[in-house]
Amino acid sequence: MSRIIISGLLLFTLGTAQAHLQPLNETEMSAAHGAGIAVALDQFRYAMAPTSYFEQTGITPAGACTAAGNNSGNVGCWRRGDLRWYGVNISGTGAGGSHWNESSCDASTAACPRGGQIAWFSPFDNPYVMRSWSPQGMAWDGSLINQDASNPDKTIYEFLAPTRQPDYTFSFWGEIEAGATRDTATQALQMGQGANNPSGGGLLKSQTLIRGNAAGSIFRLFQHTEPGNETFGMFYHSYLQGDFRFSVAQAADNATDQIGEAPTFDPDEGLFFRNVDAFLPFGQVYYQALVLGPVGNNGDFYLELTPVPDNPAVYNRFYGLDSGDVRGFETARTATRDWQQACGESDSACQNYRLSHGYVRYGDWYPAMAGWNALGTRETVNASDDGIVFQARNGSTFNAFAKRPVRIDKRGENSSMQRTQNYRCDPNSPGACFTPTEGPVSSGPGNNNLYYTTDRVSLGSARIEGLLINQFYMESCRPGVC
Amino acid sequence: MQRYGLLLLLMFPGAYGDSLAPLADNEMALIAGQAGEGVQLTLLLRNNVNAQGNPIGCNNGGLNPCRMGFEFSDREGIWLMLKDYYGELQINDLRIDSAPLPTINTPYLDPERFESVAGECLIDNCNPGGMLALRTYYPFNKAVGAYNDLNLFTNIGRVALEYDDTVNAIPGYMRDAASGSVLGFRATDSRALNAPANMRFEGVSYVFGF
Repeated sequence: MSRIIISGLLLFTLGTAQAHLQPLNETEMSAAHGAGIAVALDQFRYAMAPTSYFEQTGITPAGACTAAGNNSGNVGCWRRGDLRWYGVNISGTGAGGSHWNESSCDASTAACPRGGQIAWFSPFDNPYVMRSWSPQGMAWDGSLINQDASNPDKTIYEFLAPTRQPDYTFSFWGEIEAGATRDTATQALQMGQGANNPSGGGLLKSQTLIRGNAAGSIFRLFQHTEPGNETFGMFYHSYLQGDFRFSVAQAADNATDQIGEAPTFDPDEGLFFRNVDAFLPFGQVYYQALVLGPVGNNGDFYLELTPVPDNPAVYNRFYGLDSGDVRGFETARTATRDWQQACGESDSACQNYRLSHGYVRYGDWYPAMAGWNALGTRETVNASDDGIVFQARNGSTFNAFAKRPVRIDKRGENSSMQRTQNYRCDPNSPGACFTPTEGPVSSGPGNNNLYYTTDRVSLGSARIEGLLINQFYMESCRPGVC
Repeated sequence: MQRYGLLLLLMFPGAYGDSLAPLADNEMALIAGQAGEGVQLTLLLRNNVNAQGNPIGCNNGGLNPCRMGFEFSDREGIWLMLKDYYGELQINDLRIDSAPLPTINTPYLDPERFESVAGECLIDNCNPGGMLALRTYYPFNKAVGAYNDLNLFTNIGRVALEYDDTVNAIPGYMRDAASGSVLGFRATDSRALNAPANMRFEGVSYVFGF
């Protein structure tokens, strides 16, 4: 539909712009190669009304629950689930912004869900691009494709995000509803709400904020090259960087459990992922693709990231092994060690490795290992600005079972040492801290309880490196059928 | 979708007046958009809904005409069907004209974005600064709480695969054999049944080719 609309707009411009057209000269005309359509966006902001939503609707499952509470009608059964994403927003990360009820807030922090305009969200000199293209790659059978740029074998269609762009806020609030009975096509949202829970408890409202950007992400469409499976193939390399917040607590002065009504969310509460840097590669040109296919014969289908073929030409490219490394350990070591360095121009193994191996990094701390030093700073137990953080609502505390052992003793809790404890012994002295009298002190600045009362707890940094997706298979499954 | 095509055809005679004549290639090459004047576009597209936005014969289940099917290469005879598919699209007061891109680069400049596969610049100096672009923006509806630039109502009641009936020569998109549905999707608003989702766009879009 969007393609038709764009065509329509262009045609309409042509039709009415008869009198005052500016001619392009020959130089300008020859500058257009048809290699891409660029879309630049300045002072950009996109906002859905806080009551408007995208919805994934459920249907009554086979084996549906027949009752609520602790009885047999609520055991081993399914409930219909409906998901709604409200008020989807793309906006700035600076001062100025608004809550879902339009009251003002400061979007320079994650307390505020919607910001102002974004200067050059899509920079004109590094824009979002749609183009047909013939990049080099390897086919499923191991043959090389598009080696001659002037005489390409295969053309694909691709959508490119800018390689660099300003940070922005992407946010929405949502509802998860369990056990609804409404016919969404004929009944308003207020009808047929989670009937098994008349208090409205079948509804959970939440808020999701992302403050960062997706620069470098690529979506491609091409025909898969596997013989017998040369079907419509998709490719998505996802780059995400920034801070993420998921929260559910509502602000006391504008709370609501009414379906379809936007609350204001508490400014502090939530699960935070700070300083995230993630790359997930789904597909490789041209030997691995996301494809669709049928399951059974009653309407279900699968989405599959096709397995890497059992062909050394292909899987050696996929693995990106260092020269002479047949088992991968040395490749993994050097790739991890050199994660901040660009690959050499002629180092195809390194370049191939980084196209096929993803990573997910939470927080900026990086462990020291033989041959390189630690980077970043270890988060304190209640750090707010880095890593994975659980935060209580404004003015509240909770008891976190976030014991972070400094030493684990196989004899159990009394002999192990926790970061939140003070000790009567020197934990750095070999042989110390083994007798009951050398255990943790019961009073003092430390806390020898098994929990830690706080308004916030940081789980610290986490890093997943060398994430190789050989195959991914997801099957649609109508509720209660499988 | 058919109604939209008709709408466009009706616009052209109005814009060109008395007679239509084919444009020669060299005349086509002179067209770059318009300076100083613009087009303001308001568009309403209905897909199987009436003037109130309610579906026409689409939500009675079974084989109704409100459907869209996709058939992929190497999956011949198998149709990914969007059933009970209807909706409405409104574009309100979109302004279209032309404008040059800035001549001062942003801090995000990436010349490689404008290179060919062989690494050659596709535009002068691999820098689009100063090039003419199609400029679009929504000038109105910018008060606090106003969301009325683009309104979209979409309903996809059921999604399932349908298979060609080769015995009776019935294509899959004309069948409703799958009893279930993988998922349903709607874009709407909580204020009323079948109300469109209301959206607001701020800023300026520059579209250009290279």
